Amino acid sequence: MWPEVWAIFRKDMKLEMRQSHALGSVLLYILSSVFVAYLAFKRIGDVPTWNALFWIIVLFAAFNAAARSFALESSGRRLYLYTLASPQSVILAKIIYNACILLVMVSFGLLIFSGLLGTDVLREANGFALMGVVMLGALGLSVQLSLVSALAATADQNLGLMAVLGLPIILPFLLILMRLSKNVLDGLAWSVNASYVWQLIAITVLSVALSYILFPYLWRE
Amino acid sequence: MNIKQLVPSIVIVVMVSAPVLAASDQGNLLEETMHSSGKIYVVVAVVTVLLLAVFGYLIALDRRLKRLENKKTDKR
Amino acid sequence: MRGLWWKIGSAILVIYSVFLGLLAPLNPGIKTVDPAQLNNGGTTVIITGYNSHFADAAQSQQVWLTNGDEIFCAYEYQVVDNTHIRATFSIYQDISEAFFDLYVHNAVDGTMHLPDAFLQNAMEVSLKPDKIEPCLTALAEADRGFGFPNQPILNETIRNLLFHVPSWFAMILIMAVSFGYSIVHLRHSRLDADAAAANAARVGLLFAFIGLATGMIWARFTWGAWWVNDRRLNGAAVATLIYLAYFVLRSSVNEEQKAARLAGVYNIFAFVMMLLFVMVWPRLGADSLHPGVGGNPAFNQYDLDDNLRLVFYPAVLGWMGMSLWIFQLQNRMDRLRRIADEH
Repeated sequence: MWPEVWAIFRKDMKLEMRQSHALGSVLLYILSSVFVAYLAFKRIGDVPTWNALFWIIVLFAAFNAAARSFALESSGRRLYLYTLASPQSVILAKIIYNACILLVMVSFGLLIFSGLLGTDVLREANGFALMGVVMLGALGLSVQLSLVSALAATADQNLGLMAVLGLPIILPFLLILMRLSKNVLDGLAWSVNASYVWQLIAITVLSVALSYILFPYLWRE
Repeated sequence: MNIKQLVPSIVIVVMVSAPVLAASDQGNLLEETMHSSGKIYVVVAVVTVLLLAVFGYLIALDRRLKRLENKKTDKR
Repeated sequence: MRGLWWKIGSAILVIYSVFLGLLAPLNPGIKTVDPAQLNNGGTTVIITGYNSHFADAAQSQQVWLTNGDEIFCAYEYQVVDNTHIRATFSIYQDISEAFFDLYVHNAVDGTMHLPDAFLQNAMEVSLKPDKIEPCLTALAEADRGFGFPNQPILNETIRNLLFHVPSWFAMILIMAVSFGYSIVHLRHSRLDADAAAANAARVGLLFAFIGLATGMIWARFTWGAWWVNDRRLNGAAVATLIYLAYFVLRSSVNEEQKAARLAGVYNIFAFVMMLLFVMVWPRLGADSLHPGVGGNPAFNQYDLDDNLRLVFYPAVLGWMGMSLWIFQLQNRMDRLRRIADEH
């Protein structure tokens, strides 16, 4: 199965590279929304605001990115994939692919966000811990949104349906994530944050399992 | 269609709570009533909402059943 | 007649819980004190009781404050009527905590307790009290009969526990039914199972709305706001949003088979996430205003006493039965509709 996953992942990556404007558009989306935030706030020295704004921007960028992962496939190509690969490897490949894209996006987002809106709030934070939280967040978001994106794509619907379906599902994860990242920005110790981290990991693993079980039913057409 | 079927129950809940919402801004009369007698009127309001919502749902169900009956007799 | 017994049973339970929930008296308790601050030296306050018998049981009455391990008996007090006592307390400065708990005991009402009734006003000059000898003599057991606990601030609204909380139980149960039908549908591709799942979600939404509306009214007159930033409340709102999205998804796909399959997948995914949000997550944090209400392990903290339990569990069972009954009616109606559509 893993060779199959790897092959689909490689195919997606190649497609992505070939039409580089696609990834570029998401990065540009982040850049412009951060710039709007910069024009509105100039500089944010307040941890809760910084934290909330950062994750909201990341959230919408994640929706954008995940929405493309299935919408990119034309129905003909989907049929082709269907005959070739098992649905389980398709969803695993999509999850890995989405996670990679989102990791790139989030790192880029964190970089320009702190660049434009000020690093005052990062003073207390442990750099490694912050990176860890951001990675964990990107991973979890991409996992949960992969299945939702598959749902929306199967329904032949656009981003609108995806937001309706995805937001309530993603909220538990997002709220824990925002609390955790605020704690990290405030420089709280690992002992305080450990339970949040475990919750995030648990939700992510659960989502992978559910996607793995449920996706074959979507794929059957 | 499905959302439409939910509307009656939503409307009833809103209708019950709307006067309460509106009155709270106007004056202390509501506040005084609600806090009098050990706040028993809060319980009254809660029970009213509960029963109205359930009855409203049953009425909506009844009406849909009626439509179904009419449709069936039309066909014969 | 065969399938009817549980419906009659749950109807009886609901009637029982509404009847007893509204008619059983509230135990006597202390409602307010005025002023709520004590100066060092002597302070005279008015104690207002609720359902109390201060005058009727004046002989056996004892009034005292506690602070940490220390006990301060009322220097003198005067019963105004059954619900009012004018008491003078004499306290000194060297005490462990800023707040005093107030107790009133008599033979009819038993012991009434108002935690954190008074704040010590430390500005005054310290005086030794005129009277510090122990005053608590044998406390007579009171036979109060059946009554609900009288909690500070909540007072009569403790009864809402019997009307608000069961709707959440009913919602979770009926959403679980919907979840189960979705699984059956996905495994065996049975469209009737999908219709049942949708109908269950519809009834679940009804109980979600009931829970939200009653909760908001209760919150308004307990915490002072219609909506408070409470994890459990937000969790409930998210659950409602999820099932509204479920219906949006259903109606946005025209092809029946495909809509059913998509809805089934979303329902299963959403139910697990909702369970996580509503049931597991609110318990992990400390910042919930719900003092352990709603079937979580902190139940006994809430002083859910035996009398309340006697009505609460039947109410939960009864409303769960009612929700299943309404779901069954809805589902049978829907089956008729589908049969009518086919012909």
